[in-house]
Amino acid sequence: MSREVEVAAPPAVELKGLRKVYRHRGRQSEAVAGVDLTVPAGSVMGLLGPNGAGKTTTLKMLLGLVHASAGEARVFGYRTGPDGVGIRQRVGYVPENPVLYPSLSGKALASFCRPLYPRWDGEAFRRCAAALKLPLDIPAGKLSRGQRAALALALALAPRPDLLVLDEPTAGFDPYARREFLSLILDMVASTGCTVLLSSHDVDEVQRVADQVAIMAGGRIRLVKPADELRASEKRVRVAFQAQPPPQVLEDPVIRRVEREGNRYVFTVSGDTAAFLEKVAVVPHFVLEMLDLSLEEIFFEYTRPAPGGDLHA
Amino acid sequence: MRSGFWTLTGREFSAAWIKGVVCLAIALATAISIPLLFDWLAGASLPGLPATAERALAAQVADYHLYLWANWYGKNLLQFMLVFALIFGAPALAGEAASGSMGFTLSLPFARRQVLGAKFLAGAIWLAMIALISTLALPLTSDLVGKPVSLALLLRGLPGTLAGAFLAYAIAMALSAVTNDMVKAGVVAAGILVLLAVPGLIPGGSPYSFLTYMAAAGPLVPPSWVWWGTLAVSLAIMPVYLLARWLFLRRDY
Repeated sequence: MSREVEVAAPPAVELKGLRKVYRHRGRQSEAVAGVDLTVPAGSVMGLLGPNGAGKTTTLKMLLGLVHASAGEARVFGYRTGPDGVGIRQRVGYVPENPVLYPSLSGKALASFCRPLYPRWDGEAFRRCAAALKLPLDIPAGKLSRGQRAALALALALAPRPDLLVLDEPTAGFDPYARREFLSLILDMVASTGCTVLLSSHDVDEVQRVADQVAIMAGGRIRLVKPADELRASEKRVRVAFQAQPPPQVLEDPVIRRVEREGNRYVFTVSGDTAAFLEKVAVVPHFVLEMLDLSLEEIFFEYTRPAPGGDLHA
Repeated sequence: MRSGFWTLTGREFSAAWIKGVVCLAIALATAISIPLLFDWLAGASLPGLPATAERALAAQVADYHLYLWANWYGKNLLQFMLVFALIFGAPALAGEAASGSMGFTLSLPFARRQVLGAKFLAGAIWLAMIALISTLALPLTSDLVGKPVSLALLLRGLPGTLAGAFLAYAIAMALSAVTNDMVKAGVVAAGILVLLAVPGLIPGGSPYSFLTYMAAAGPLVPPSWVWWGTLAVSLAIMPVYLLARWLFLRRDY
């Protein structure tokens, strides 16, 4: 009797305990403080975080541009590093402020990159350039920041990558170009099933494209959830109790934060919000309502500094 | 699919064309002027010239081969190649790191070893071309002025000059791997080259200076020393290159 054994495909990205400590003149600063993150193949992961959260350093470690002080990064099961040629053939990267070879035009850059990739799609490059109204005959050094980002995206999409890593890619874009840019990414995902890891501090951008959301702050991942689950699991419960509520309500583990004024409470909760609502509902109250949190509110919730200056865990 | 290494080497080579052409033009103009000036120097009376310089000049104009050798390998090519080696080596990595395009290069499917190898090779080809083409101008111009010389004899000096130039280039490149400041890399590399030249300033120390072999100075050292010394300088390139690679592989961009 033969038995077929299904081997699960490795995730597109797997970061385990990834840490980066910079040393400068005897001083140490921890840019990334032990990141664990898995990006399933075929997903669009939005990595949200304020400036200085460690997003760029994390992505650079993933690509082998920066060496990890500890931990490991894997792409499609392969450990990344400075010599990961095979991995980089499958990864497209658009950095925050792309600096391409300034003397080369878009056409020349495409000619330079073409022989490096086994699946280079010149038509995809031209389509992307046309959609973003990108002049291909002008040297990259004379392009605006947004145009350079567009060129970097066209160069990243042309090899038909399995993983697209975008680090604040739309920073220099006007709203039209931003919209076109995000549409291109969504088209790419729909047509090729490629995985996208999009780092941004623009909540709307992430909300528009991501099906998974990770929030990073202070060098750590604070939250990772599918976008649809996120809405269901992150809520605000506003309640005016008739008397002091019992401690089991106030100490429920789903509570992230409590704002109180007399017997009026606003609980910000994360997890099984329905069960918490049931628990609160049995306590005598005047008003009880559960409010949805926007992604922006969730972002602030997870990245806001605590009164002592540290971040809420 | 064309090898990434050769693709990058081609790009690095063409990216340096302005620098390469300017350096070549300087070396070429100097090389052409040396045979052209021979007759003038031979007939010139230079009042006020120190006695030692006058004796050296008299010895040179008495032998056209010696004149070419002394004025090309002994003076000009040596200095040019050291300066050109720093001009090509110091910005090789630091320039790209400072401009930010190193991040782009390293995000492409190149191993860092390939990046360093391609950059080194592209610069080395330029240096070799500059030395070779300008040296070839000597016998060609000599023919034009009616003083034919042996091409083979003139080319004998090139290995020593190139070995020294490549060593200087590797030192500059190693320093370029640790900083984003190409001027700093060039200045420190120049300082190291000065230190390496110090043995040549000590009486009897010239066989221990790489400049001796760069100058292809047969008269200064026994003939066997020239080749052993050139080989020693050539072998010294490898550890310096490996140091550059080690530094480059460990660098964050």
